[in-house]
Amino acid sequence: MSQTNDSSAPARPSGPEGSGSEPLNIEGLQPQVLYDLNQQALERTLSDGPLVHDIAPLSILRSEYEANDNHVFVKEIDWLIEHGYKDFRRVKGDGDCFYRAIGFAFFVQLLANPDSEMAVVTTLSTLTATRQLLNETGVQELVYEDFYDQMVALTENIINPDPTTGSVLTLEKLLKFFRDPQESNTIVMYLRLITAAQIQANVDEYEFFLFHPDTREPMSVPDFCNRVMGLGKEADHVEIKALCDALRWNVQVAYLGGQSKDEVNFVKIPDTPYPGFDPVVLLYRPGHYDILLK
Amino acid sequence: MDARLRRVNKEITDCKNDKSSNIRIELVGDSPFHLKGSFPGPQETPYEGGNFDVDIVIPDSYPFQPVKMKFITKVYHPNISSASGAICLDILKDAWSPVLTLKSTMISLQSLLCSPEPNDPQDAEVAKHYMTSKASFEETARYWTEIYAGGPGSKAGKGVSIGVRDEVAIAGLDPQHVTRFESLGFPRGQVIDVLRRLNYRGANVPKITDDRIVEELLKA
Repeated sequence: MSQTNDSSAPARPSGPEGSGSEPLNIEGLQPQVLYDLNQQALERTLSDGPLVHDIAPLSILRSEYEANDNHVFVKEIDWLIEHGYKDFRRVKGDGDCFYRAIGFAFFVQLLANPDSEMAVVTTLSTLTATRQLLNETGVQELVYEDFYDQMVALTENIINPDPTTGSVLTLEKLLKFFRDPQESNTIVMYLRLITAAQIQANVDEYEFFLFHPDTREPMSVPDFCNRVMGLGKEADHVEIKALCDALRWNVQVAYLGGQSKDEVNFVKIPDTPYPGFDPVVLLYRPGHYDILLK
Repeated sequence: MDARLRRVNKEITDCKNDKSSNIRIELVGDSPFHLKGSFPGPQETPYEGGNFDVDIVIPDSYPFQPVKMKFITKVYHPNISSASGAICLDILKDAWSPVLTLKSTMISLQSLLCSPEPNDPQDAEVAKHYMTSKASFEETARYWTEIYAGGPGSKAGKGVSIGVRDEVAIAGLDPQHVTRFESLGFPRGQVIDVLRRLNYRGANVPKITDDRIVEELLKA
């Protein structure tokens, strides 16, 4: 996300960050100024490191914002820590962070599911149905099958040993898989294709909510979906909703944004959760998603 | 088999099986990652009747990175370098998506020939020609199709030797203009270069004084 946002960020306001050592009164700032400040903090941490990081305490993120004099974010992080969200897992800010975060977090949940057999069977049946969705929306099989097959293979590997290594999926194997760009991107692409297909198959539900993330101009369904199907293009509420509906996934997004004063806003997608799976919890800061952990 | 090879093989087969698209893809040497594509010039364009060859290189991280394509056949088009064949097309850059294939990308090249985007040029001189006089641009593009892409009107197809090619028509200039400055004693090649660079065509002609041209010729 940093990629696309960097290029579109307006010229930096001349006031706040040049004001020396005096603490910044962030509450009176315009959202755009706040956004830019946040962006600077993001840029320092997002572009390096693996695609999916190890778990880290949320207090690390707190100290980064504290060093940046960003008191609203610090307050919001304190709220999260007080409410039991002590850790998080960073995901690289390359524009694919939403898809990579949700994909990784989903597999971690499947691994931890006490009835993994049932969870895998349910997931496989949902995945099978997405083939139909892809076919109906005109995605060529030769384009999607490698991505689809990899998604299915990873899911099956939770209960069945992989024929080449003879072992079932472990967290360590999952991390290795998600840190390899080629492997990781097959899952990202599968999730992107499903998201675009879900929007195309349900035009009535989505067509009035499709806006270009940078210009905020309305976009046509094909233009919007073409963007979704490209790597490195960030996701917003519409994409999250479409993906959750297609895969019957539940997500909660904790929005850090300096908007609310006393608590962090958690958005549940969809409004009424699909039965069977706990929600994946993501931490959103303007332009970026990480995985939030209790 | 690695994923990239599997995908490329499927794409080549898909192209072979599809007779309706007129897109052909073949191997250049032993590597499945260096290919040559070709397609006929689209109808009702200056490229009609020509056959256009494209050099295709599949990068290591294909399909996550865009395929690299450039024209082997020389093309006169605002979005294609007349010298190198480099192509200015969004899907070959930041608008690439792994859902695109060799075939769909080649079809996009065919569409690019139908609808030039002179405001986002790859070849600035050609784009200026297009904007100054579309009719004259089309005449030049047709001549290039004829001599480089084996288009209609070319008796010997691609076999026409350099000698019989009309350098003035290749540059998209008026022969009378070239002759006029040649008669002042400047070498023909130099006159063609300068007039082409100054876009001495159509409505631009009255705007450029003879003194200016002579000045440029003396500098050259």
